[in-house]
Amino acid sequence: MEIRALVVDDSAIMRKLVMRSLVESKMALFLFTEAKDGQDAVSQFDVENTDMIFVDWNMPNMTGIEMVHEIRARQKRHVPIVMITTESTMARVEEALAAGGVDSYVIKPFTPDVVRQKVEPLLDKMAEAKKAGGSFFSKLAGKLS
Amino acid sequence: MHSDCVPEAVISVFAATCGTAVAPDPSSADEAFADSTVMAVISLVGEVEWTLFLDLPAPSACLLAAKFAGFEIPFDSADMGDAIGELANILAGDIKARLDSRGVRADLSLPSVLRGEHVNLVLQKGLPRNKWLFACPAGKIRAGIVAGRQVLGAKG
Repeated sequence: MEIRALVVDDSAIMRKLVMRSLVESKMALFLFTEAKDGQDAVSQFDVENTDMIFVDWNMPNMTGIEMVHEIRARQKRHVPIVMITTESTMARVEEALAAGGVDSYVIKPFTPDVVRQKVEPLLDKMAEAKKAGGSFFSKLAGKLS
Repeated sequence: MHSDCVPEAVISVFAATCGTAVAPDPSSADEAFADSTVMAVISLVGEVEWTLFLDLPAPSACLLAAKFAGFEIPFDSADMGDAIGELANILAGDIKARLDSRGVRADLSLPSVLRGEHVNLVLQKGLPRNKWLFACPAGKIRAGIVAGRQVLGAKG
């Protein structure tokens, strides 16, 4: 399975750590695009070709949650978004999860195993949706819009 | 007492991020910080007003950043600022979570990172402050807080 992932973090080191964890988890063949903040992510978001987004919460210019709102407004199909966060923003991430803006989260510091636990269910759903002709995430996107 | 969150968080965060056992250094010898250091500064503002700093001598910074990132990071590179800023961000997040659990709310700023020789925070006189020195196999670590409105150690 090939996944085109957009990795959004103002820290280049954290982007590398996220990408390395995803590669080491061997869940899929990940093809990465990097963005240095929410604004950069919105401009790099490819409506047709971005499969999944990994985003930090606390960033300059446009925060992670502001980016989530922008992406949700632009998407044509539901793109799973995984928030990468510290303990400090957990309450707000849980609110975002409950509201459906965010699909999952990973707390820093993380290991490839933790990333796998959080991301694999999303990949399974994507695979099921592909088999069923894109129904799961299309329906989810319909519900959210 | 809330300032005790800081040393607890330092020990926990460096174990989790760098796999390093960090212990308080009773010697209080600061000579390791006399030369090149990298210092990250973050504010926690809300029911406390703290400026948190994390200060690492160059040898400690290089070893800990490499353990955190999984690859060598030269002291003079942009990646070093990124790595230490991120470690400070995770540390501040851990402190915030500890304050939250005591019913004390605070928000975090983004980290700022300074690198150089003889780096010192020049602070307004009379502000309550506390600093802690730690030792680990990578070398020394110094962390501290300077309080604004609220006196260190006061109940939330």
